[in-house]
Amino acid sequence: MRVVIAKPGLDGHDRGAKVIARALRDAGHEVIYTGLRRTPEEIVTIVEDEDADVLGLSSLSGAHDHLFPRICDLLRTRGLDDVIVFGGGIIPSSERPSLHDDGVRAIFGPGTTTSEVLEFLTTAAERRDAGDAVGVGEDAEWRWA
Amino acid sequence: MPAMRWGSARTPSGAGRESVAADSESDLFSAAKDGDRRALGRLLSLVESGQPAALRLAASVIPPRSDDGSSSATVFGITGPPGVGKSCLVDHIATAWSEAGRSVSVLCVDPSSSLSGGALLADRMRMTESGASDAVHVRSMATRGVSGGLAARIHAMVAVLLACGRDRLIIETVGAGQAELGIATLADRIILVEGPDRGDSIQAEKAGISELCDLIVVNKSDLPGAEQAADSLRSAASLDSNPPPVVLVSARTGAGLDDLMASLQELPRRADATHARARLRLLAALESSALSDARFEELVESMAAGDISAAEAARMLGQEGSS
Repeated sequence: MRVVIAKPGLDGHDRGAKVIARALRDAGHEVIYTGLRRTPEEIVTIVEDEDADVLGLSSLSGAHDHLFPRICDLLRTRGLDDVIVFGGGIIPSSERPSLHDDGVRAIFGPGTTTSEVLEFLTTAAERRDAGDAVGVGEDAEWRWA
Repeated sequence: MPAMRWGSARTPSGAGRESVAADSESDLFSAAKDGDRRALGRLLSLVESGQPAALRLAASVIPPRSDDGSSSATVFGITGPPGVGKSCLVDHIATAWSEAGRSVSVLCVDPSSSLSGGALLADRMRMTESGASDAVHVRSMATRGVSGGLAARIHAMVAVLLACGRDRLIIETVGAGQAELGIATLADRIILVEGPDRGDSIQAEKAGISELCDLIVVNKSDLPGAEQAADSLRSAASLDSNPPPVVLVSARTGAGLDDLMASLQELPRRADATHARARLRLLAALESSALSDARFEELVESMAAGDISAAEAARMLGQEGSS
């Protein structure tokens, strides 16, 4: 799949995002890495132009609670309802349910193995192929536990 | 072991987005011509994945290309070794053209892993200037098994982009000099970017893309060694009857960028390269036809199992048969 890995907000570190990006490449995906400090609008334009299947958002410094929902809304506004969105980084458990409700299907905190992320992507792709809701603009009930 | 599926890592069923019933390629094409970027993205994916109807559409819009250098420059290839700053320069050039009213598309090509079939496409990380507005359209592509530094189906994607009204295309590829000549089959003008760590001047005289390029840009002029690199490239180039100009710039400080944009304005095509470029186009066409042959992957499997030799496999592909 074509996966965009994005760094919204003002984080200065991207080692985690790069580790994930490489793991996805080694599993056969084509990964587009946006680099640091991208705005929501830039990220959504990238997803659109790259015709990405999946968007992974990485946030370490707390921007997730404002920026992840904003990006999900923008994806929907631009008609990118079928894009599968996941998040990672430092995201407290208490804040995850509302992100899931906004359309983020999985959230991976510190200690997540790369194989878990790959398993999520395989499962999400199977859901999509079966016609089940998994895109950011589709019914938000299903989430990766 | 399954045959290589480039960039797929698909579900066991092998289904992907392009197999999901969606807008037809002609609907996408009409929408893309009207400026719908999402439709353009979807259409390019269909072409890239080799979907037959999309390829037929691309073939129907391929503009006639003359090899005599008379076509006006629309497709610019930017190539050079890794790490010289191609992406930063592409960012600057694309933004400048876009601000001057052109509609610009950039295709950034990076290598696919021959082991996993995946790719890390990170060129657009550097494109912060053009990324700040969405005027410049950028698409990242993996080579997917094609040699020469280009990507499979890129010719068809270029045809679609031009037919959708993009009036300047920049193709950015890695070119280490001697092997990555594929850009010569696709671009109207080729810009070779070099950096200060050029090594000795003998390097500068080796054949390859430096014989075919129309302009040489030495980047990182703010670093030591850049002047010497430019001089050694100029002296190597001067041995040619039609040497390309050599421009010194720094994408970081902005030095020389106005001169670069002026050089690009009326850049002539290098005379004497016509024959060499035609030869490369034929080789690229042969490779493309081999890769599209339905038997290609099977033959690779048989070779990997030790059942047949490369020469036998090549003979079988060369015969008339299924494709």
